[in-house]
Formats: sequence, structure tokens, C-alpha cells
Amino acid sequence: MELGPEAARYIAKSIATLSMLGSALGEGYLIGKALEAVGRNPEVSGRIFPMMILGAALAETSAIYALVIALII
Amino acid sequence: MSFLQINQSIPDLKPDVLFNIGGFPVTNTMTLTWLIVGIIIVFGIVLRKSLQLEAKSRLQLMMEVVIEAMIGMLDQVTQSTKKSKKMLPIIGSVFLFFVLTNVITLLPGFTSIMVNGAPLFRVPTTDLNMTLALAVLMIGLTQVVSMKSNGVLNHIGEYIQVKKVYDGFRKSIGEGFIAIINFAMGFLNIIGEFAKVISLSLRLFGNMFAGEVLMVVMMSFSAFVAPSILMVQTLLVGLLQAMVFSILSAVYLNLSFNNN
Repeated sequence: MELGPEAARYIAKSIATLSMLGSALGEGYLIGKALEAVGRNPEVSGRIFPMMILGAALAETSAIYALVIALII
Repeated sequence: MSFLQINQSIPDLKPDVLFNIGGFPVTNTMTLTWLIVGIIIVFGIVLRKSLQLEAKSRLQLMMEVVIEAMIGMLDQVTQSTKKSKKMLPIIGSVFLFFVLTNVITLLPGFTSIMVNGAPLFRVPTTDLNMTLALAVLMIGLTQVVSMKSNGVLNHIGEYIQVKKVYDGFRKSIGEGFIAIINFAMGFLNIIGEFAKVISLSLRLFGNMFAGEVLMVVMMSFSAFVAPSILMVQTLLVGLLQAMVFSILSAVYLNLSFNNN
């Protein structure tokens, strides 16, 4: 069996998107911890929520890099 | 079931060139950028004319609520209202601009006006040039602010730490070697500044462009009902990314104020 350059491109795309796994794990951990903190003392939820969103956006960065690379390949 | 599906091609990474002005290409993301800037300027002038001390117009009350909310958001970053009021003009206008650009896609038919086979408008944040330009502007601003508040030599000393190595060796040899390690870390800070620009711009661009690509994929799968879920997601992501961009640049600005 012979693989052409097109097939190699698709394989490269799939490998690039694999790195989203780490981002997903990080985001799940972050939001779980934030919910734990809100559960412990609910009155600070207004201050935790924007920080959580910011952290989630930062954790998402590597997934976005992977997506951009997958689109460019 | 092919009537349920609309096949479009996935949008190109680079925007279409509409026409040239003296060898300077004008793209369809630029036209929408200037339109939005125009809208914001006209809105500002109209609001400025009808400004009252005791607000009676709904427009003024609405904008007062928005600005109060933005100051509240900046207060969490800077911990002082004085500083956040100083930052508000630039951070707030960047935020309003991105909110408008990201939400304007939801106007039906707005991005489907065709001129010479290319759409007249395209969302500016789906073009890397646009987000990169604003990220360079924001990080450049942090450099200028840092130079102004710490002095030019101190600012450059953050990156090339010759003075700290000299001071370290004058104290003791052990501290001198620690200072040499910090000297190498100073060069990493230079790379860090470029990484800030890249991450700020790619985050916004990647999110908005991925939204467009997902929409095309969803349309080829089922063109009814299903894309509406994605549209709500686009609205949320657009607002969120506008907030993230402005808060992150506020954080960087705050750091450049503080490090003296």
C-alpha cells in the first residue's frame, strides 16, 4: 500500500489535534476546582467566576494553537 | 435529503482583496473594520452631544451601566479605581470594538453582500492581520508605559541585566553566579514578550475562525435548526473572547505599571 502526500497531510492534521487532549484535561481540572471553591463559600462566586473564565481561556490557548496548525497544514 | 444541506467551501485564511488604492490592497475585513470604527465614532459624538448630569435618556443610562461594569471588571485586575479609570479609555474601546465585530456576524445577510464575486464584508477578527495588529499595539503600549513609569534604562535593564550582575558580584561570588543565571533568564523575557503577542492574537483569531469553519461544516450536514445552536455559541464565544483579550491586556498593562 502506498500513501500519497494528501494522506500524509490528513495524518499530520490528526496528530496536531491530539494536543487538544491536554487542554481539555486542564480546563476540566480548573473548572472542577473553581466549582469546589464556590461550593465551599458561595458568597465569593462573583469574584471566582471571571478568574475562572480567564484561566479557561488561557488553558484553551494550546488547543487553539493546535487548531490553527491543523487548519494551516 | 440534499435539500437540507448547503455546501459551501471552507473560508480561506487570507481575506479577499476588493480593490487597490495606489498599490495598497483594500480587503473585505478592512471595509468592515472601518465601518465599525465609523459606527463607534458617530455613536460617541451623538452621545457626547446629549450628555446630561442627571441622565434622562436611555442611551446615556445604558452606556453608564456598561462603563460601570467595565470599571468594576478592571478593578479586579488593578485593585485601585484610580488606575482602572486611567486604563479605561484604551481597554474599554478595544473591548467595545471587539464586541461589535464579533457580534455583527449574527446580523442576517450582512456578510453575504457580494461585490465582484467576493463578499463586501467579512468579520475582521477572522483575519490574523487585524488581531495581530491590535496585539502588537497593546504589547507595544505596555513597553511604552513601562519605559515612562520606570525610566528607559531600568526598562531595558529588565531584559539585559548587566547592572544586576555587577551588583551581585560586588556583594559576594555566590550572588554573582545567581545574577548570571538571571541574566540568561532576561533574554527569555524578550522571547516572552513576543509569545504574549502571538498568544493574544492567535487566541482571538483561532476562536473566531474556528466558529466560521464549524458553521460551514454544520451547514453541509444540516442547514436547518442545527446551525442556530452554533450561532448562540458564536455569540457567547465572541463576547467571551472580547473580554479575555481586554482583560489580558489590562493585566499586562498593570504589570508594566507595577514593576518598579
